Amino acid sequence: MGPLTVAIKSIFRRLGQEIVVPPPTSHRTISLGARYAPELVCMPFKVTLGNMIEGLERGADTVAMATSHGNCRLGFYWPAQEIILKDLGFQFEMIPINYDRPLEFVGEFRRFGGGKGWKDVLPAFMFGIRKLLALEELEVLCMETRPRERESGLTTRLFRKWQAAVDNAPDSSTLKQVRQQARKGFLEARAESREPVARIRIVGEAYMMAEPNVNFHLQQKLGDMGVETERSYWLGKSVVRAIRLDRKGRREHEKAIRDATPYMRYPDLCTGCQSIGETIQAVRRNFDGVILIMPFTCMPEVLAQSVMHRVSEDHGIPVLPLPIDEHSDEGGISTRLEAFVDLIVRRKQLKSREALAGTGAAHSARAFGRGPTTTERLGAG
Amino acid sequence: MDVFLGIDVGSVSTNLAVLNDNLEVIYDKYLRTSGRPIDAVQRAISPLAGVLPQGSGVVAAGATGSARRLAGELVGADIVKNEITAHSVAAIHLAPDVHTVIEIGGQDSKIIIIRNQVAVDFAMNTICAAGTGSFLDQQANRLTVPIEEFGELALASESPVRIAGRCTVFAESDMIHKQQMGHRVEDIVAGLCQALVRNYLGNVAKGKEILPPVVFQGGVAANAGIRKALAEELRTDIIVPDKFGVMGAVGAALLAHEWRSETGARSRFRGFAIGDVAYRTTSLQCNECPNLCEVIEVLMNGSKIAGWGDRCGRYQTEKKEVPACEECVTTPSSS
Repeated sequence: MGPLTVAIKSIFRRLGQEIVVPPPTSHRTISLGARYAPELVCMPFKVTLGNMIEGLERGADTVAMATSHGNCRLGFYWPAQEIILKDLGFQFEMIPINYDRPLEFVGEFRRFGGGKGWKDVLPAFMFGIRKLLALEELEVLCMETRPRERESGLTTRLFRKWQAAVDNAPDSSTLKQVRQQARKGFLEARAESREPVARIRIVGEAYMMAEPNVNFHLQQKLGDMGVETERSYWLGKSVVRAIRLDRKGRREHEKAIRDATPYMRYPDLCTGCQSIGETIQAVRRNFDGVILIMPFTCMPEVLAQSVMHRVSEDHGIPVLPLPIDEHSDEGGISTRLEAFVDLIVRRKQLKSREALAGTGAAHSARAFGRGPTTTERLGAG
Repeated sequence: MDVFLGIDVGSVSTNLAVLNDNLEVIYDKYLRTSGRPIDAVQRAISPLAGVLPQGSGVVAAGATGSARRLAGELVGADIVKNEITAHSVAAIHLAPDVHTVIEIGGQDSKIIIIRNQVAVDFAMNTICAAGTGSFLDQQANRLTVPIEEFGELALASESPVRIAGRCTVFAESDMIHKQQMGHRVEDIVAGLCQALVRNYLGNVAKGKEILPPVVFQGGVAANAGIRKALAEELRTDIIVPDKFGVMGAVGAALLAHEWRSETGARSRFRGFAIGDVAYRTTSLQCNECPNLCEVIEVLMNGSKIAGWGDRCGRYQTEKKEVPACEECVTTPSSS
């Protein structure tokens, strides 16, 4: 994951350690992972395994892997990966990073930080988190700017530029400046006359959402079609939430789970619940559609997918489930996305036409649920 | 006379439809793609000059199908749209009160749910191609029944056998088993049709509210056996449009008409002579950055007319360089 790599790199660099950055996820990474992973395990397992192999090939001696308890098979991933890699003959130490227990994993940084004390580790950690948040803000700016960009490709270029600037920022004050300049730069890249054709919220499994090389650059694709996107999951936010610093985010998260309870009887057992709740939130926040992204065979999201058509019907919002694995083809994904965007745009046009004509209001309310019409949102009519 | 052209280049067939001002189909053509989309497009377009009424001029062209991008560049399409939109537009044009569109093509099958003349939901087969035209083709081959007679044969059956329809591989072994048991060919064929329909309704159409009127289109709609099995399973009448095989192309032509009435712009259509032009594509793996994109470039008489497959836009314009930006970081950071 791009932003995480930058953050971890910054933490260890501050602690005076050398860090091997595995090459970005590519075809090779995915096929390496798929070759050594069990067939029916999910895509994130295969990709991270491929990343580990590529990192170990470059001489890494320690591997850090995220884990958590509950929710899905993720908790079993690091031990399974450790066994697979040791069977392949690699010599290394595995550190599980359990993000449900933040103090524990900051402690791990201390252990591998070359004997530095808490006094050094904590600020290094906080600075890493700041970088993570800065990079994620850049992504948000991209998602807002791309459908409005002045010339095609400008957003991507700006992102590369500011990503490098964040990566190189040596201290907090530089980072703050970089963030301010980036905001300004992105604002200037917008064309006055262009408005997004639709707004789509992306919900679902976190890894697939966050890794563009695995999700076929979903955000960029939608942006190029003129769609403004929003993502429900951000790593930085969830870390901040785990260390109890983001009370608003925590409340929102709890609210999403409460919203999902009519559809899921045992909400605590399932992260898929969150996707359902976030879909319902998207209706309230005037999104035109929701994409549910998940790895094929993902247990929690498959549960969510199976009730999604009811959620979609009850709340009048189109939902596109997008299961992806290493056999998915880009053409099929693009066709589905294009068709989904067309569907949303045509629906919006019809709604605004009906609202203007003042006819068929009852009709459309039944067919399309409760979302406000375009004209209402624009304050016209 | 102003005419609108639509072309649909799919995995199995390449279809073409020409609409007049009143949006009536005045000419249509169904060809096999045979794995050579460029050739198929040329074969479809070149005879047009001879068959269209005197004085017809193409004022807008649309392309759809899995090779829509390529086809769009070859013919100079003004609008390039996905098959789902094209099929729903065509079905709505034909039957304004349609509520469900079932489309089964060569390699994929879709369902489109329409309410108030707007597509509100759709699904396509994922991961698995069971229950599509190619499967029927293969099994017809195995039974040495010409695919054109397959449907009629199914209608002759009195007691269709039950064939496992979850997966084509298992369907095939089950079918062989039934053959070896001594079942009659027509019963097996009818069983296959039912298995295909069950598979479609259980996978692609799962969880969708299928309300009549139901329009059935795509190449497989030619098969009377499938039509009957579908009508029985859904307990409703199935409408099969006259031009069921070229509905994608009709949709593309309608979208072209829509484009024309919205913009009023001049068409990019290259004319009917493209059959004589040498088109070639080259593919390469770009090594400029770690994305390692697989890039396709289309050459017309040796000069590049289009390129795609890259993420950065480097190949999408005719000029090779990325637009200049002095602050732009040329080497992506190690992320």
